[in-house]
Amino acid sequence: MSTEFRSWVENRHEAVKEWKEKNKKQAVGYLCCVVPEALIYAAGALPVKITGSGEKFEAVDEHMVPYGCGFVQSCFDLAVRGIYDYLDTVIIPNTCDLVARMEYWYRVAAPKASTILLGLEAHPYVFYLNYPEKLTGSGVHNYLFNQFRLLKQHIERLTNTTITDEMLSQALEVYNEHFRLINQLDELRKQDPPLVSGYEAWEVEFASLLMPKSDHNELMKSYLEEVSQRKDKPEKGVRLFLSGGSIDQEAAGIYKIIEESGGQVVSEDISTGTSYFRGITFDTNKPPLDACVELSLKVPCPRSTVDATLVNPWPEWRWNYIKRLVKDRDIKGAIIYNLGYCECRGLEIPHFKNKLKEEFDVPVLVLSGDYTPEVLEETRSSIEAFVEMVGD
Amino acid sequence: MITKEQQSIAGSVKALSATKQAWTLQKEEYAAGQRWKEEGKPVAWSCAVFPKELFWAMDIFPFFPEQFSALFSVRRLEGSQDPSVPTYATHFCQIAEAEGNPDYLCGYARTGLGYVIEGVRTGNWTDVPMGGPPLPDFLVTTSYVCDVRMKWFESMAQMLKVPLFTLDVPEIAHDIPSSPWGLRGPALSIRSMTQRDLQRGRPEPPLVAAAADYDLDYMISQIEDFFDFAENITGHKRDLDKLNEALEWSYKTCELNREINELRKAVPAPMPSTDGFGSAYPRLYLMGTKRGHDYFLALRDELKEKVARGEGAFPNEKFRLSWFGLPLWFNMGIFNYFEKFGGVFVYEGAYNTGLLRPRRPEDPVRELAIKCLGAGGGIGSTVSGILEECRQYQIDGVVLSYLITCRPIVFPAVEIANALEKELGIPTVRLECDLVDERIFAQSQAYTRLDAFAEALLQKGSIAHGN
Amino acid sequence: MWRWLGTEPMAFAGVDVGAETVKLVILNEGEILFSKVLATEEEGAVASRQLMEEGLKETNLSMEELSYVVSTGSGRATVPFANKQRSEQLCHARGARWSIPSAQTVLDVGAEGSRAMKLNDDGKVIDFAINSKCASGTGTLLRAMTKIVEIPMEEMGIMAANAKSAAKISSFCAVFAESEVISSIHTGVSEESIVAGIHESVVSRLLEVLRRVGLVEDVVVTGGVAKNIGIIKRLEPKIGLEIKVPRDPQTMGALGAALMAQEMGGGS
Repeated sequence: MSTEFRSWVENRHEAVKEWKEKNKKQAVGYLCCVVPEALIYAAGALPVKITGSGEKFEAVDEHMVPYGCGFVQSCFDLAVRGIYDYLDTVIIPNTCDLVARMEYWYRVAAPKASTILLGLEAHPYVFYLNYPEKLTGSGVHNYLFNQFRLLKQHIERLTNTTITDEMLSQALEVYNEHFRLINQLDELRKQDPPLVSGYEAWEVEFASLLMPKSDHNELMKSYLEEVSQRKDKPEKGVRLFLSGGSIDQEAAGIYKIIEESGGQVVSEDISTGTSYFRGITFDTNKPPLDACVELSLKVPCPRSTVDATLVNPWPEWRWNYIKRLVKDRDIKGAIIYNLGYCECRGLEIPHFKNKLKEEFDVPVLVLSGDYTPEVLEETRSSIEAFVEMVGD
Repeated sequence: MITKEQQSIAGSVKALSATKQAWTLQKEEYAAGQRWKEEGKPVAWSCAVFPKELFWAMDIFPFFPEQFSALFSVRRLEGSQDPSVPTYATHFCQIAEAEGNPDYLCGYARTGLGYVIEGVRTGNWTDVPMGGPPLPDFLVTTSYVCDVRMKWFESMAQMLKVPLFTLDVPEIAHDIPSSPWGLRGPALSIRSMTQRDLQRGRPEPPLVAAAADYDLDYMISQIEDFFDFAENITGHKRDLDKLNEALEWSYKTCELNREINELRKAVPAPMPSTDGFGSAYPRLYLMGTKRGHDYFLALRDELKEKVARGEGAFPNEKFRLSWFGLPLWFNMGIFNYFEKFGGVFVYEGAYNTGLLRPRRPEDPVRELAIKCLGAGGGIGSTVSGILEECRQYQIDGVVLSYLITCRPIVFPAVEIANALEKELGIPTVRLECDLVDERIFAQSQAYTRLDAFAEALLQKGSIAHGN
Repeated sequence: MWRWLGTEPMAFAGVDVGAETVKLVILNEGEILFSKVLATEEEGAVASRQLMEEGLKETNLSMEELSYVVSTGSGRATVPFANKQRSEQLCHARGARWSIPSAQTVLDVGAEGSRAMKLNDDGKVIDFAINSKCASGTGTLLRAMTKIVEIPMEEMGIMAANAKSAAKISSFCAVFAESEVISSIHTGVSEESIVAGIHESVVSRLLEVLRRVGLVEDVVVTGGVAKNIGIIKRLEPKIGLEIKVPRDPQTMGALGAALMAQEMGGGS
């Protein structure tokens, strides 16, 4: 069952191209979890999470300094090399500093032909989504609503469809079902030993970012049944929590290293699975576009912020989210895998280290990577030492 | 070759006497702020790109971690002259890193965090240059420019246990490349407009390429939210008259700066970057005040006279340089470095006060919101901006400060180098450094590179000097 | 002796395969029978076997009489006769604690990297930090510098310990540091000052690693670089604590591995 998920993950470009060919529909690439996938799905297009690769850069150095996130640079490199040419449009939000600037680099270095009117593109390849930096504030819902309204128009023009409220509501139902199924999978990891390994759970979730949600949901139902009847559970490993950023199919090698070192990731805070959506769903009592806005504003991405006022002096919104992921998991340790130049996550490290020790009494290993497979491999000795230390 | 003296922190030699006033203003501000705090009045810590007029409108005294981080970078611990003794900035960076803050973070952030970590731990806040800033009652930051200033302020607010407000400024994509190597047509030009232009009936220029009414609504709501937040904490009421007064001073200061920027185009250069960056304090932190305005008035007057006399800052100007990015505050002497070759840094665009917008005294909140939205940027407009500056100032070479810990500055650097070379045939040299952490600067390597650059420029000849 | 007594031999070994050296410790019931550092350019499997042969010969043991062998170091996976592999962090901490029972913070400075371990009162490692991103702060940097300044390592260490002043040499990057040393030589900075500056640069990096785990005395330094008196004397005032160095700091990893082997192999 998991092989079907695996084939999407391992052959993601081919898989999407095949889907396009078969269905005669568009593929919409996007970076980051704040982009309303459901809106794209509602139009009948395929939302495709853009990720990188472990290959050496060919085009990055001509445009960018090396002092930037290797993951984002890799995504850009693939775009310039034409690997992502099958995408019909690309949505770039202003999430972190480098992702926001991809809006320029995609336009300039990975352009697609377009009609030009008065110096402007009639239908741009790149859609820049201006997502608020602060998730609280009196005007934020209206602001993001307008951004999503523009995005909706962009998708409608691309797909030659009008996305009605009914279509969007149906899409939200599909996504809510997806969240329920993923949560069920997540529950199986609470057991000791968990019924699925950390890597397998990651792979299943990651596949959902590449394939149509409805197809993934169908596969998930039978997959969950198969898993719940498993006799051969993953080898008992030291139970760990993993916090990392863009743990895509390259960086997910860390799960394997942890498992090979005698550890087992039973919960994670990463931005390329659906861990951001644990415990949240679309509110289908609201008008659907409003529901999309509301959910998007709940995404606990570290690059966002909230106000801390006298009434609520320190909201701990990110820590409370982490706490939900760690609670009831009986973890013995936590690994923070900081991809280099990720400033938002980097600045959280001291606070989370202290909180994990204070509230869960677990040691924390902080690792740095630069997204390359070579440096990922270098984490092995520290992970082995850490697993030895906590398992001792 | 580096002398023993050069191994110490180096300040710059200024060309104008008006610039020396900046240091005095800084000292006065620290003293005034410390008195203000003693009187129980509200102090905020904020950041350089937050609109100061909002503080003046609320009777709040702001101090700026970026600013005191720069201040901490120019003194070694306990006033030592021994180069092996770290500066206060480096010392605080080490403290922040020991707590787990990554070393690739902005130097301002690491210094500020280290200062707060140490202060909270030991209770010692004043054994630092100028006795340090008064402690804040709350923190105010903005999303504009970079992510770090938001998250860093979160960490500080947590440790100081004070409230935090973030002014969210939409990152407008008015970022259409002016000359993207033949792929698209010219960019929409955004004209600056003065009050006189408005009075003559010229139409108001487009706001920015892509800002819409809901961007403006959001920006206005952010400003209103700030007022609510600040009223709640300080008990002061928002004073729109004071806001108008501050915006008036800002407008006049920006007009003066526009004049100064024009005067700086003269050959030989009358006001080098030693004085440009030397004016950073009043430009960034006293914007919207009379004392800030008066500083630039004196500067403009001195500059005007100098230009009328045809005097340059440096008698033997042979080639003209521009500095892209922010300086390494612990080594401002670098702006005098090329003088021995006849090179002068004639302009630096980093703290440009930006385009003028017409005043709207009937609605100062809207005026400020428009001003905030207009401050956006992106790679494309940064590149076209630099190209334009180099044309206007007749630049022969550009030094790119590769601030490896300051992402918004360093990200466009390669595109800038490419564009300068391709469009204008202007060579560049890069300098890896940090804003305040002197560990991240290989002095000998850097100077060797600059020497070679100077020699190459001398050989190439100068646009303005025709040699 | 045990053959004469007719009892079972209970010998255990620890092998530490590093970048430039291999270390072996053989012990029995807590008594060290053999301990040696072998500088080698051979690859791990060959070097560890060579050293083991030497050790067995000297102790008059055979391979079969070794009840359990644990390997550690960056090349631990290459030791063909190891029963188990263990991390350098745990092994160095173990060896240091055995040699100096009051050890609470252990700093291992090797050729390729440095690591600091924090121990609890029972001697268990509860936290660690490593620096292996760059050659700065390692033995490799010091070795590279000996070639530039043309002074042997031991002499460099003594000079650094006694120098009155230290030139400012970057600690951020080994490449920066090397170019600054060359530049200092050309500008006539005194040899003593340059050497002291190099050591200060390494010490700065070590301090960063130590601070990440927090300093609790006693602080023990292990690894080859612990033999460099210049490093020790320049680190001590910075941490404000006396540093203890075991008699044979370079073998602490192998000793720790041997002690673990003893536990795992059923020894007391």
